[in-house]
Amino acid sequence: MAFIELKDLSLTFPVITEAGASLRKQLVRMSTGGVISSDNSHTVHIQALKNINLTLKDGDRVGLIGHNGSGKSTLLRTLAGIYTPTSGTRSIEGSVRALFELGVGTDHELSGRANIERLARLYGFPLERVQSDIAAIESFSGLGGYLDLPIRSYSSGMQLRLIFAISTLYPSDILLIDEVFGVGDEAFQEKAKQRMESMMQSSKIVVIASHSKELINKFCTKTIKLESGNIVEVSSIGEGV
Amino acid sequence: MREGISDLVAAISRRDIWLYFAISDTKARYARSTLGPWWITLGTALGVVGLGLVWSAVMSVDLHVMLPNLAVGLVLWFMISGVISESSNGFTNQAAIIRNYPLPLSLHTLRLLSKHIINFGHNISIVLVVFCIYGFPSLINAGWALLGLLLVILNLWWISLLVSTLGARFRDLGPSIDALMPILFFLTPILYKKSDVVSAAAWFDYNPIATLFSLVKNPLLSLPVHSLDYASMAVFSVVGWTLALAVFGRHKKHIVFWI
Repeated sequence: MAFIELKDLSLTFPVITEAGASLRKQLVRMSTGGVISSDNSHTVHIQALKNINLTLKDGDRVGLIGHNGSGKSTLLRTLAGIYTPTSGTRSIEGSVRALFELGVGTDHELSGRANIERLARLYGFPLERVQSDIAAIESFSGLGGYLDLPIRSYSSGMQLRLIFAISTLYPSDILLIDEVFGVGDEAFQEKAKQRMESMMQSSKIVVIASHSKELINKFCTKTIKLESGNIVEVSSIGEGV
Repeated sequence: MREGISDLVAAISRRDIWLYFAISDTKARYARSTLGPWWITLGTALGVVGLGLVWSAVMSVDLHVMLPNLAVGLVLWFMISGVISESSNGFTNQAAIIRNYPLPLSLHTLRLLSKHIINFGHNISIVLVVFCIYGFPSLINAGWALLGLLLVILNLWWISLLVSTLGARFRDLGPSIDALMPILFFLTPILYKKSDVVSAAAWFDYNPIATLFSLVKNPLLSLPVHSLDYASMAVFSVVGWTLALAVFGRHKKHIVFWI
């Protein structure tokens, strides 16, 4: 069983402006002290999430909507365990797969095969299983003999196909997605969509951040609207829309 | 502190990532080159021979004293300076991975450290060749050197963790370390022996890098081995680890926002 519970979760993150990151400024600040220093720290704090309360159970398909900067990606990264909440609690049960920026951790000088292994390790896939499924990756990405060539020789579409094929290889209990659609050419997009659909179906909880109403209406059972770090609206989408 | 320790323990257990990526990075860097990582060894070897010829003439020291001295010294120096100067960007260089995969953070320190240990492993061949020509140290001394190497790595590890954490926050740290490295090179007995200068410069004893250095270098070159130095560097590592884990543990959750 998968389970997500956020209680009064808030997240404030520091943004260090140019002057604040400088060691000299910090030292000067320490030595001068007093009045100037207190309003001259150059660290701006952004409250990205405010008092979020959220409970998700098996079968929940959630679409996160909201303007740019409303906190969708921050919430996803907090759910993934990459950001630590400033206050409040976060309890998560089940394996989590985070699909944010795809292809991070690949090396262009290495072959497709070596990069499959790099990503598989980062995602924590069992390696023997990946080895035996390499044919599946090959056929899904349609790369065939290219797998032995360094991926810098691939076109950008081919690279995306390979990366997509690895990232979506195995389902997980909880699936977190941040706008990762529209991969490759038309024929591949169809394949990618099918893969995504089957992956979402086999996941117990799915949270997607997207600006596409169509996508959210198609895949999600409820939407959560964020506005400057607050949940302002939760609504459910009727079945079969 | 506790958070720092639990992150460290989690990171060590992910050898499937840090060790593999250290090896994979080395392969990627030398993709399509025939010599591969041996290029570093060749470069170091040229440095040893070139500096050896010049300095043995300048300081009028015999080549059979100078070459083993330089071989051991330079090989060690490249590892120590490499780890310290690369560490200031230890987390910033891995920003994309940190922002996309929920992995223990100190894993990136281990990846950096093991990459340099791999290079060091290649460079050891230079030392072996020089020893083949000028004679090997005794087995007991080799044992002392191995213990010294362990202490060097143990200390480099916390230094790397601390410098990575501070370097993520303070962007001036990297350039300042780069500026200090050449001075540190001359303050460390690489080109000369500690006994050559020790009477003139008493502050030598306060350079921990120089003491760390002597733990490996002295036994290999049949210079006096002080067991007290080993003990003091063990204490140094305990103090260093406490400091590094305290700072890292406290700011671990901020690092992702700093990079």
